[in-house]
Amino acid sequence: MEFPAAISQTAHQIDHVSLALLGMSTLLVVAVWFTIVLFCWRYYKGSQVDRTNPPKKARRLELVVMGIIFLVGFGIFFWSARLFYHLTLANRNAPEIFIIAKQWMWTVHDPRYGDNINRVIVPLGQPVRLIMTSEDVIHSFYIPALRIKQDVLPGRYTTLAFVPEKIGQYEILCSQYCGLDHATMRATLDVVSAEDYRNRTASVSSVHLGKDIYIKHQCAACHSGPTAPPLTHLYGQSVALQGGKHVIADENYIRRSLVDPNREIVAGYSAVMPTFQGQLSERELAALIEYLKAGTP
Amino acid sequence: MTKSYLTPLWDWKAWLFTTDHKRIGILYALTITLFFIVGAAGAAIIRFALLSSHASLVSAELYNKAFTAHGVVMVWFFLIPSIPATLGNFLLPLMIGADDLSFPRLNLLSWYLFIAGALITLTALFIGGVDTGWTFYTPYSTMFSNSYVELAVTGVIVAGFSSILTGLNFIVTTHMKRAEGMTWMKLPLFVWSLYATSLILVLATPVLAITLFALIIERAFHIGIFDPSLGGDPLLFQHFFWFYSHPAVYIMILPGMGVVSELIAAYARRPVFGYKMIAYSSMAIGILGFFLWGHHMFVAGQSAYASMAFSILSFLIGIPSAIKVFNWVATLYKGEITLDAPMLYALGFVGLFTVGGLTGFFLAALAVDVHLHDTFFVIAHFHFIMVGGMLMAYLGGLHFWWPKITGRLYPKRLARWAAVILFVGFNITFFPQFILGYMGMPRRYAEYPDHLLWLNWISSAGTLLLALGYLLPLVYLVRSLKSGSPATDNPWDARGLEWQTTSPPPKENFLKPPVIPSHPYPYDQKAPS
Amino acid sequence: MKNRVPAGLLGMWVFLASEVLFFSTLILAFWVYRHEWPVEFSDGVRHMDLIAGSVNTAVLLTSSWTMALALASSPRWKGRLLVLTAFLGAVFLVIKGSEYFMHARDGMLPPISWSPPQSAPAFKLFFILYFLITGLHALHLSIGIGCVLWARLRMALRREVSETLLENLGLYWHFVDIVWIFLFPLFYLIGGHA
Repeated sequence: MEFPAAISQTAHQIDHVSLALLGMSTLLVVAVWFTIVLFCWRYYKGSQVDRTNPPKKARRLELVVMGIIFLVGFGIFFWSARLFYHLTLANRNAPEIFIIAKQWMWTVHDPRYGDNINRVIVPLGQPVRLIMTSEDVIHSFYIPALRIKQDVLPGRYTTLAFVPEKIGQYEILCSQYCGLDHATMRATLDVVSAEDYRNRTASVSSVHLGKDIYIKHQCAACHSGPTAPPLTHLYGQSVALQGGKHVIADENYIRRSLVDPNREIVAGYSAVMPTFQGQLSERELAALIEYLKAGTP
Repeated sequence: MTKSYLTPLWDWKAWLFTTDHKRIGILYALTITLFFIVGAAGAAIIRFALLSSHASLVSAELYNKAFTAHGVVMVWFFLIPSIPATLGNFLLPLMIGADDLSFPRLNLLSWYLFIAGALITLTALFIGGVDTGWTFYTPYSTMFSNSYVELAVTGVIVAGFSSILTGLNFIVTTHMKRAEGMTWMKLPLFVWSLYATSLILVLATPVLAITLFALIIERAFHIGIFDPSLGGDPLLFQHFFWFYSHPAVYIMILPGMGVVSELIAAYARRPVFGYKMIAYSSMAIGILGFFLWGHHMFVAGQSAYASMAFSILSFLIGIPSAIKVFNWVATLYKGEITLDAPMLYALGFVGLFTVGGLTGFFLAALAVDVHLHDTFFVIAHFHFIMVGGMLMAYLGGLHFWWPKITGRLYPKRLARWAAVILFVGFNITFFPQFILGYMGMPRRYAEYPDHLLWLNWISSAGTLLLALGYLLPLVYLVRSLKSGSPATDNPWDARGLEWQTTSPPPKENFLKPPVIPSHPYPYDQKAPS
Repeated sequence: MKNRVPAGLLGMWVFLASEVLFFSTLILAFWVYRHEWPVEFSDGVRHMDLIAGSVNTAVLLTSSWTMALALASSPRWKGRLLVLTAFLGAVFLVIKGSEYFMHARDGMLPPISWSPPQSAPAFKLFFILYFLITGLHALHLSIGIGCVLWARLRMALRREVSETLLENLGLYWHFVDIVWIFLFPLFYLIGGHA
């Protein structure tokens, strides 16, 4: 019986919070169980002990006990919330790897090194960001060694970011029930040295594939003219929409613009862009996004 | 000699057309026992299957249907009705000095709706089963599952109406039918807990009904409000589902807490310590419970800020629960304690509920939940509360009021042994699951990594003892109906108005008006003769 | 409360509380999606028959008035006003039914007929919610009409009809009316006819 190794700073910290919780819980459980046994033994019917003036209430004692529990609980909440905040919002600009889930396999698409099934290869010590979507039902990407998971939804991207700090192969498990073979929908996280990662043969890059798609669907017909907003260096910019709202052009925004273009129309333009939902697979959407991220379509 | 409510006993019309709350309570008790056995069969399949880490004993298909059946049946056809519809129905009017509930015919309708719902769902389970899990998450349930989802869900909706009507009945009864002199602050804590439970029944269940209804519409007609291809949001289903299902867990535990208050008072022979705090904390749990639902969705794609709000609120609800544990233990102080079976069950509840409740903190803590969500840790957490807590409270209450309900006594020594066996079997079965969860074993897994085999074996082995712990009371309680010694009006010298009438009571409950004490749990006074 | 309010009345209030939650869920779903897809939902509103909706609102409000009158009037007029109330409720249903018919004819009644003027997916979402919610409302109204007529029948047969029963009918009827007061702006007014 070996506990999964904690292979990142965050994983260690999660273990620490858990330990603190375990300590607090054990203390309280022992206190409660011990007191019950003690009282049952001492005040068993017929025992000759002082039973005069049993208290009906003890407001102060109760308030003190509750106060302590509240403070400890709040402390743990705060500690844990900070960690969570860091987990969800850190490494927003880390290099991305696309994960496309479907019953019952994980397609992994590394923009720089190409595709894989059920295997995510990442370099040691560097932040990486998984951008995930599902082609069918809700799945969940769970890496026990990193102590993290994130549900993977159809129709949008969810992200998971981490910094792996130990070389090795670690289990990835689907942790949102998704049908018959839910239990065998697994993958491997392969943490390799930075050098091994760099020395991988780069297959047809995503950017290349994305460019092919861009040409095939003649995006430039509109996007290099006055009828559509320009796409150069779009990624990361703040986009002004019709109606006054602003939105940051991240992966989700670009994806939405492709599958539902008339939902967020750029200010100063009309709703003329056709939708590509059903025409581009998740894989192709990812490649196109990578091409646009490269900056100069 | 006046007839008891049980006469006539073998007249089926007197049972199926009764409006007597006591008979209706028994009808519920018989039917939920049946459903418990069905749910337990699902559990047996699960634990048997998990003896193999490669699904070689039970196919994945059967496993997925087994855990769905186990969850659906246990939640909606055992836990939700259990204490309120059985002990609650029987005891509420007695405890407040009334002759029946405010709406006796509505009460019978509740039971028929319950049976109808159960029959519909059980049909779905037996003609082929459902494989979505009891949570029916979309889009799997609406667009991908090839099982009898609509049928199963229809049964749940119908049973939901039964819940709403029972809750309505209890609320009106508590307001309207208290005997003269029985003020709110003299009510037994069991009544307070039923009141809080009824509020949740009335306000939360409709949300489930409409959500499941929308699910059926989406599945049957392919017009869906959760369908992402139409712009719908599968997460909306989760929000609606958990808006009901989180308060639902308080429907399941509050009545158990009420029973425990009664049992500890009776077997320590002391008024419950901090009566007002326990009454208020029941209400607080009922109300606060409506604001926690998002803690089931920390990794679902919910905003991090919303998650933080749900997290802190989930910590807060630990406070009224902790108050109760403190007060129950304090009631033992300077008491005159006997350890009969009901007391063993009650103390078992306190001990196991404490563990279950504290593990709730692990799950409320955001970063830790990211690791533990959807693992066996969650399963262990809620089984500690539902089985270690609620089920033990139910058994304890059943034993305590058995003479009142049936007029018979059960064998005391055997009952004590059964309680201990249940406690031990329970811990062997479920404690290892905390460890399995932390080690990363997800739930709803027909097969799992090999190194988790031994813990699964221990857990499955424990179920044998657990089953014995269930079987023994079933056998000796049923046997006592024929051969148990007849019970007096108040065999435990307990307080509470129900003990001022005969065992079993007459149909109209009280032949002469009960004496209302000056304060609740008057164990410092002699029982009224 | 025990001696001031009849149990039946308290029961009806509790029941209506559960009904509020029942309708609130779908209305909330509508509200959330309206916020997600303002363009398509406004378009949906523009394809509603504002006149039919307004007439229906007036009809239902009037029926609430006749119901209140019925409860306050002498036995001679009670029966007639109850029938009038039920009649107005039926008028509402007829108008609603004709709206459904028109939508079906124009290809906007999923799943029976769907060939909409607008292909955006969320446009369908609007209509799905419209039919679900107004359908449930119409069901509740139908039950109300049935109960009102049943009470009238009992009165005509000289059977006992208690004060509490009539008051409860009134409460239920007003509730159904109030739900419509929320639905009308949601489906016919907000964001549409600017």
